[in-house]
Amino acid sequence: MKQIRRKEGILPKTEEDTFRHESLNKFVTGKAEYIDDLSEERGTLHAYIGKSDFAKGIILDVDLKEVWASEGVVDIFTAKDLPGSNDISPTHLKDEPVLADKEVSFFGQPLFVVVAKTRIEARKAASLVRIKKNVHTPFLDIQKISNKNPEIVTTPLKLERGDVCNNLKKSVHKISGEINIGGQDHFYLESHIAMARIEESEEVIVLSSTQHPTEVQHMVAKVLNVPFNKVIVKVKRMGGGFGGKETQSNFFAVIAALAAVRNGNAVKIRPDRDDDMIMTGKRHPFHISYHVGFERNGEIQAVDALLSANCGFSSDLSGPITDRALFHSDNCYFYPNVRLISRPLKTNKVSNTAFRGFGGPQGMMLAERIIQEVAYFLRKDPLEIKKINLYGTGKKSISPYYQKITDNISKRIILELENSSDYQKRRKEVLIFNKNNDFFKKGIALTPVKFGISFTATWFNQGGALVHVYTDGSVIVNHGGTEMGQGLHTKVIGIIANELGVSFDKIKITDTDTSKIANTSATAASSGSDLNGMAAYKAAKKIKKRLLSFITKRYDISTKNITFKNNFILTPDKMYPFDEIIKEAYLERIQLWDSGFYKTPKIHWDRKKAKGKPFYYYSYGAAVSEVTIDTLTGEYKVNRVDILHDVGKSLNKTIDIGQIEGGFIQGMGWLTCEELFWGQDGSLKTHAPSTYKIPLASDRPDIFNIQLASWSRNNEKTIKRSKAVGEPPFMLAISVHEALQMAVASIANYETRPKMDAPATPEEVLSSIYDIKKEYQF
Amino acid sequence: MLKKNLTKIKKENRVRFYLNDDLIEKSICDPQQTLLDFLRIDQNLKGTKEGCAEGDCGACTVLIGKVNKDNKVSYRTANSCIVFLPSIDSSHLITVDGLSKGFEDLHPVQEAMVKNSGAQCGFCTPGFVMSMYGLFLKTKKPTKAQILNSIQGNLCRCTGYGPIISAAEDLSKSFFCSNDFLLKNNKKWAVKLTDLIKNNPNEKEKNPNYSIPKSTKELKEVLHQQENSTIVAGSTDVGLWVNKQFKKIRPIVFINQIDELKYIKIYKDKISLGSLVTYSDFQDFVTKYFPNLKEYINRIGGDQIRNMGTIGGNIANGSPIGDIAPLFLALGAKMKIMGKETTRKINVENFFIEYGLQSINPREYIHDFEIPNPKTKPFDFMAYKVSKRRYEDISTITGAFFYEKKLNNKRNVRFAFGGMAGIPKRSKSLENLFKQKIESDFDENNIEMAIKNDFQPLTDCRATSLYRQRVAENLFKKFSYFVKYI
Repeated sequence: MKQIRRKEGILPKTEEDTFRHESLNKFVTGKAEYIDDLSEERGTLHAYIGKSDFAKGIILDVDLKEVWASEGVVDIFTAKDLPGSNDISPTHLKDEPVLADKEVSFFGQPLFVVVAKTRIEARKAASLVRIKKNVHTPFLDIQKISNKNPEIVTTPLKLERGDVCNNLKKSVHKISGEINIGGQDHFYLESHIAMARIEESEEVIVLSSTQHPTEVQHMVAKVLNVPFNKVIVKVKRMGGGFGGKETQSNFFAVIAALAAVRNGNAVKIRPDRDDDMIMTGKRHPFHISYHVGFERNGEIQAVDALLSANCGFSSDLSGPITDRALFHSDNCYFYPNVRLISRPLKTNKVSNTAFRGFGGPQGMMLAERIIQEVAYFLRKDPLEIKKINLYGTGKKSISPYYQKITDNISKRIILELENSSDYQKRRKEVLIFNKNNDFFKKGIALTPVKFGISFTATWFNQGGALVHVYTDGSVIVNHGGTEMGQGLHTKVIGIIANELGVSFDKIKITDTDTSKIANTSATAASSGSDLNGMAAYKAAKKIKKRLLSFITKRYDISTKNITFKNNFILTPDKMYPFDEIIKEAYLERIQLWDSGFYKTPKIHWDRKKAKGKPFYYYSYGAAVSEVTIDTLTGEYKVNRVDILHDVGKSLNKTIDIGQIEGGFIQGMGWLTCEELFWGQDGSLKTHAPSTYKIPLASDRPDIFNIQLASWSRNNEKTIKRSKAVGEPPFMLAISVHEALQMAVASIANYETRPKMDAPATPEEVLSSIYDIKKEYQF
Repeated sequence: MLKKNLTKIKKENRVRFYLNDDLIEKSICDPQQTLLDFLRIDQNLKGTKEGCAEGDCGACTVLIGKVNKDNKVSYRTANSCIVFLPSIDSSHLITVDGLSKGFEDLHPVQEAMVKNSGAQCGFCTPGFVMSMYGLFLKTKKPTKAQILNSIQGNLCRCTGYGPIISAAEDLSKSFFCSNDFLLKNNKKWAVKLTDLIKNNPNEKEKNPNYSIPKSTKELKEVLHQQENSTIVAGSTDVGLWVNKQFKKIRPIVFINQIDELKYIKIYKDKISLGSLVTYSDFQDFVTKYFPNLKEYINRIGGDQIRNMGTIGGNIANGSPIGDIAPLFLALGAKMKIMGKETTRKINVENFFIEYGLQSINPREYIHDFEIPNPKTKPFDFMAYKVSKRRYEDISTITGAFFYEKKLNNKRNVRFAFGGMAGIPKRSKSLENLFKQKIESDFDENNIEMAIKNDFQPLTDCRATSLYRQRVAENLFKKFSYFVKYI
C-alpha cells in the first residue's frame, strides 16, 4: 500500500460548487449524442404520423391507397391495429387515444402511422392521405365558453379560507377584473424523438427523449399489451425538455415501439419541427376573473377568483397544473379571506401539458395583477403594496391551503434587492424621464417570487440511485432522474465526489434506464436534485461507511480522524490513495456498490378537504426590471434586470445561475414575444420558429445582474441544505410585464392601471396605449 | 449501352467541394437533397443538428468558404438545412467536426464556450460555435453589437444567452486565431478552390435536373432551353418549399456562382446593385450610404440568412413582406430583367402586379437594380421595420419614406409599405397629403383616412388588421418628426 506523508499544500483547490456541466466538451465539439445522432441498426425503418386536418368531427373514411403506393412504404397502422389499450392518458382518465378512431378532437390529432425505409419517404407518404369527414364547429377559446356547466377535463379544486363574501363587502375598496394569459410552446431545440428495437424477439428497448422514462415504459407496455418488465426505456440526454417531454414523449415512444414490434425491425420516429409544435401540448392559457377587497392603506382583505384553463381535448396533467395555479395565486402575499376555484376546461385544441412552473406562473400573474389593481387605485408604487401584504407570522402565515409558511424570507430578499438594484433612485429617474419624453416611456418594477417545492401528488416524491465503485477507484452513478441540460447529472457528480472525496473526473453517470432504477418519478417539479441527489448521496454514504469500518480495523485509526478528500483518504499524519484502499477493500470482500432511496418527509395533501402541507419548503427570489417602450409601435426593450434569488446553499453556483438566467429569459418570452395564434378552424398558425418567436440574444437585457442569496440555507434537511432551482426563476420575469404596464400607465399620469394581458406583444402594448389614451382623452 | 449511359450521368452529376480537409466529389441524384442531410446521413457527421429545417434556429450552422475577388477565401455562416448540395460546388465547407483540428484539444471558440458554460442541453451549441467562429474569421475584435449581430440567427432555449455572449467577449479581448488552420492556410485554400473552379471536368456536360451557370450568358442559355426552371440563389425561401411542402422544383438553376451579378457600382447620380448582392453585402453598403437605415437593415434575418439571401431573391419571390421591396419602391428604384433575347428596364413598383404574380416569365432573370445616389443627390430617406420580435423576425409591417425638396417649394415624395397589402405598395393618398401640407398641419384623422383609403391590411399570426393600420399611421408620424429634426 502506498502511503504518503501528509504535507500542506499538496491538495489542489476544490472545485466543488463551481464545477461546469459535465458534458460541455462534448457539446462544443458536436460529439454529445442525442437520439438522432446514434448509429442506426441495419435496416432501421422510419415512422411518421398522419394527422387530422380538422379540429372536431367524425371520420367517415380514411383512404390510404396513395399512402400505400408511395415510395418506400412498408407498413401502415391505425387505431384498429393496436394490440393493447388505445389510451395513453397519464392520469388514467382514459381520455387520450394513441390514434383517433372515429372521433377527432383537435387539429393535428394522430390518425394513422406510416412506416417507410427513409424518414423523408414516410413524411411524404403520410401527407398523401384522403380523409372523408363530418366537420363540426370546434370550441377553441375559453372566453367564449358559457359559464353554465362548461365541459371540463378533470375535477376542479377549490381553496377557501375565511368568509370571502362578507369581507369583500366590508372592505373599504373593491375592484373586479379579469386577465387573459397566453400559452407557450416549449421550443426545446431537439424535437421529440424515439427509437425502438427488439431484443430476442420479445423485449422492447426504447430510446426516448423523455423526462419520464417510467411512464414511457408503462405506456408502451399497455399499448403493446405486455408486462412492464418486457419494456426497457433509456435516456442519455435530451436537447431541452422544460416539461414538454414529461408526458408528450409517451406518444412517440409508443409509436416507435409498436412499429418495431410489427416489423421486427428497429424503428425511429422524429416529427418535423412544425409537426412537433402542432401535435404536442403547450403551457395552458388561462382566463382569470377576480374580485379583491382592500383597505385604505392597501392591505388586502379578501380575494375571490375563478381560474379557467384551456386544457385542450384531454386531461393530461391539467388537474395538477390547475391545482398548482391555485397554490400560487397568493405568491408572497397573505390573503386573510380567500376563495380560489379552478376550471379545467375542455376545448378542441391539442391537450395542454406541463411547462416550467406547471400552472404556478399563471397563478402568480393573478397575485401580481391584484397588487397592480390596488396600487394603481391608490396611486402608489406597487412595491409599497407588495410589502404591506407579505406573509408574516402567526395567523398571517397561513396559506389558502392551510400550510403554514415557516421559511419566509421574501421580505429580506425584497429589501436587499431594492437596495442593491438602486430601485428607489432609478424609479425617480424613470418618472423624470417619462415627464420629459413623448414617444419613449420607461417603466420599472420589482416582483418577488415564492414557489412551493414538491410534487403535489405526494407519492411522486421519491428517488432512487445506484453507486458503483470499481476496483480502480472509478465510479459509476445511476439514478432515476434525466438530464435535459439542467445540470442534474453534474450536481449529482458533485454530491458523490464530495461524499467519497474523489475528483469529478473519476465519476461517470450512465443513461437513465428503467431496468436499473425502477418506478422512477418524472424529472419535473424542480425536484431532480432534491430526490435523486439525496438518493445517490445515501448510496454513497453506505459505501463510505463500509470503507471507514474497513480502514479503522486495518490501520487502527478512529473513524472521526479519517477524511475522504481529493482522491485520498486522510488520517492526521498519512494519506492513502483512494484507489489503493478500494483495491484492498475488494480483496477483503467489502461491498463496493450500493443503492439509495429517498422520500421527501413531512408532506401530505388532502385534495378533497383542500388542506395539508403539499410543499416541503419554498424557494424565493425577486427581480427588478426596467423597460423602455416606443409608444408609436408598441415595441420595447428590456434595459436592465437585477435578480436576487434563493437556492439555499448552492450545490453548484455555475449551474444555479445558469438556471436562473435561462428561466428568466424563457419567462420573459412567455410574457412578451411568444404568441400562439390559431386559425378559426383550430389549426395552429405559429408552428415554427419563423412565426413563433422565442427570445434572441439581442433581447437579453443590456444590463443583467444575478446574485444568489448566499446567506440562505434550507431550513429542511435537503441535500446539503440546497433548494430547487429549475422552475422558480421563470416567474421572476413577471417584473418585465409589470414594468411594461408602468411605462404605458405613464401616458395617463399613472392614474389608472393599463389593460394589458399576456403576452405583451408590441401589438398588446400599443393597444393598451390606445385604450388608456381613449379613456383619458389624451 | 445502358451501362455506358449510367456512368455518363454519374459523371455529369458530380458536385465537387472540400468538406473540412477532404475533397468530396458527389454524384447528384437528387438536386434537392439538403446539405444537412448530406452531412448527417451520407457522411455520418452528426455534430451539425437539425432544429427546425427552415433556417430559423441556427442549430445546423456551417461555414461556407468561397474565393472572393481578392483571391482570398471568405468564410460565411449558412443554415445547412436549406442549402442544396449543388449550391456549395467549388466551396470549402467547414463543420463543427473539423474545428479543433490543429489544436491540442479544443478550438479557442470551443474553449471559450466551455469556460463560460455557454451550453446547457447542448443541442444548439455546435451552431453557436460555428456562428461565433464565423464572426472571428471576419472581425478580429468585434464589439458587443457585432457579437449580437453574429448570433442573431441562433436560438438557445436554455441559457438565456449570457454565457454565450461572455464567451465571445472573452475571445474579442485576445486575438486567438494565430493557430487557426483556416486563417493560416487561406492562400492554400484559395489555390485549391480556384483549381476546382477552373478544372471542372463536368463543365461542358448537361444534366436534366440542375445546372450551375457561371455567367449570365450561360444563365440566359439555360433558361431559354428548358421550360419551367426554378432559379435558386440563396435558397432561403425555396429551401422551405422543399423541406415543408415536398415541392419538386426541378430543373433547378443554381446561380450563386455568377460573379458578374454580385457587384455594387457607385455612379455619380445613381448606384447599381447586382441581383446577387447578399443581404450581408447590402447591409454593409446601406450602413455606409444610408446610415439612417442601419437599424432597419440589421433587423433583416439572422447572420446565416443574410449571408445566403440575395436582394434579387427578396424581390423575385414577390413577398408582400420582403424587407427590401419597400425601400426600393420608396427610392423609386428601377430593375433590369433579362432573357436570352430581351432586356427590360422597369420600375420595381411595377414588378409587383398582385399577390403571387410578378412581371417576369420563367425564361427571364433579374439582372440588377438602380437607385439614386444619396451622396450626390441629397434627399431624406427613412425606413422602419416593426415585428413581434425585434430581430430575426418577419416584418409585421415596414414603412419606407422618401422625401426630396424641390425648387419652388414643391416636394417629391414616395411612401411605401410592406405587410399592408398583397404586394409591397405605395400610399398615394399619404403622399398627396404630405405634398400639400407642412409638417405641423398634420391632422391625425387625415393620416388615418389616407392609410385607410389605400390599404385594407390582413389579420394573421403576426398582427391584426387594426394594429397594422395604426402602426402605418404612426410610422408616418415618426418620419415626419424625423424630417422636422434633421
